[in-house]
Amino acid sequence: MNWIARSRAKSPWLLHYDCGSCNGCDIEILACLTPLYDIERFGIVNMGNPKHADILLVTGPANHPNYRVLKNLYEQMPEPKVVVVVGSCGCTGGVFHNCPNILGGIDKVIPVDVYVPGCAAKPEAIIDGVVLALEKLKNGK
Amino acid sequence: MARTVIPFGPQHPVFPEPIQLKLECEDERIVGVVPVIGYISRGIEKAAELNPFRNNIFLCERVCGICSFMHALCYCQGIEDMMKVEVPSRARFLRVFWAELSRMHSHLLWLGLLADSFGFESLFMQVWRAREIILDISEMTSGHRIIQSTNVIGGVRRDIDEEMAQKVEEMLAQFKELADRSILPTILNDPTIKERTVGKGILTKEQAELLAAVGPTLRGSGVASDMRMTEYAAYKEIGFEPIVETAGDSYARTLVRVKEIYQSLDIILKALSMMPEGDIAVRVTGRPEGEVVSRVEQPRGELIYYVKGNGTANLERLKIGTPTFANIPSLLVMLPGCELADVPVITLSIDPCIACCER
Amino acid sequence: MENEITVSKAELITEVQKMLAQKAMFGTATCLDLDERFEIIYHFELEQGLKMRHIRVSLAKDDTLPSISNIYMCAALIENEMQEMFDIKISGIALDFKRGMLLAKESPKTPLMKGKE
Repeated sequence: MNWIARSRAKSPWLLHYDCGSCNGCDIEILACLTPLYDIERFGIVNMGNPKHADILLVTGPANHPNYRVLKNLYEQMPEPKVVVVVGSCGCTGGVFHNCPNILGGIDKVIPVDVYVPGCAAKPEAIIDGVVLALEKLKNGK
Repeated sequence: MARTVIPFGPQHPVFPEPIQLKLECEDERIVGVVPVIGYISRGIEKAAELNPFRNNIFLCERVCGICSFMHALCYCQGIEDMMKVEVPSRARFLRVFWAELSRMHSHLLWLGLLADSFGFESLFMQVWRAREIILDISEMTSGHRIIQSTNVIGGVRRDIDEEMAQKVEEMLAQFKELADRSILPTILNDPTIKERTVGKGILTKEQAELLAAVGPTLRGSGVASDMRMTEYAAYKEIGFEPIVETAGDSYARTLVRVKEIYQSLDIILKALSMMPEGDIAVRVTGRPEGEVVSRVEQPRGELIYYVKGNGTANLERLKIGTPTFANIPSLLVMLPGCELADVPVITLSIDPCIACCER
Repeated sequence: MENEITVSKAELITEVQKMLAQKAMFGTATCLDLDERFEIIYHFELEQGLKMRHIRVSLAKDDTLPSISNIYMCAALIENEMQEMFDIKISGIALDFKRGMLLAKESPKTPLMKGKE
């Protein structure tokens, strides 16, 4: 493993995108950054720019108004990249499965590597999901 | 002078959710705003017609994850009103307990985001640290940190025993100590906060009334309007006085919310001490028929549910009127005249919740 | 419902102006699809929100509803929503998104109409 691959797994940068969730998972992702969970101590940093990011954290189900934005963000991220879906509705559509404006799970739009179920997913589960994603980054997929 | 249109959002660091404001600027000054919403619209009102009415509670809870308890409460109160169900008084007190708990966590969350929006990173961290205590109480009493899901039609799902109530009181004392030491003095005295919020985004009383602002946005402009004054749940027994500020700027709205955190704390303690013994739910049979309007005070303001049942297991129509939807017109009045750098703070001062707004 | 009045389409604007004269605050509006016609209920609030007043208007499916957004500007958003979710025509909305406020181009059209599931 060369030093770039090693550093990538040691300090992954996240991009968070809200695709239409209820907000519950989004505030839990924010809670991961704050003193009690503090994922920054593992070198995990939340980024606003897709070109800097290694891990795409998506919440909520894919819907008609913004699936293109999601695709766009995914395509802009450099390889290797992993996608982590947070929350039951992002995994399958969940409680919103019969809403008219919904396409379904995120995997209908982009390939997904890790599913984190829970409504809303707990911060521990989110961190666990990100660590699983790191394994994938380490093995270069 | 030439006018420039600057798109603010949809992915902007100050908003956890997507919303876009098209800002028309003359140099640094905003002269016009057009909101662009609809990035996370799901169509919950239609899904509510397709689900059986009891299952709709779970859907209503997920209109918004921050104030999910209030959505379920409003829905349940509407159905109970329609089916003429008398809710046991212990259940009414328990509802007040969880409702005020979610108000506290919502206001703290907002306060953290506000601090983040003007770069006060340490206040953001302090506030979110204090908020974890509230979330721990929520997890201990209901089993979940944010989506409590304790409402059922006819009462509540879980009870709080003596031992747990004592633990809650201890944790609240711990929270109060932390808030008194590190949050309240900063909000009241720190010059940087005042610099960024005092006199910014003014909404006069007349404008607030005409534009139908709700919640802390309205109360920050000097109108004593709060749905808890309509005495739903157990607010009649506990007693309630709305908190009002008259300045109408972003600082006034901040003060209203900070004082409401303390008020909620008092209400929770009162609810725990006054809670009568008895059942926590009654069995409800039958199907809803008729139409009813139910209102509760959410952290962001008034929530209106219009429910129409037709005597079957499915509802005919469920209309959800949310506070952010009502507060957007006020935002369009606050922004013109301000400087571009103040837009994030003023926008956050109405506490926008886009998931509520677009449903 | 309590405090409810039913008015015709022609009386709507005068009734809403009366509400404004009483310093009522606009709450929200609900549209109902009753198969052969639409019913629109405007919810107003009096006395700092302690009392409510509902104005109900019945409208034929091919008829046009006058917008109240020239009296209560804040009603523009909910009128846009009604226009998108139902196949209803509303004339003179102060800020007209032309059925593009909440729904995208690919979204199902007028999803809240009956018989669409």
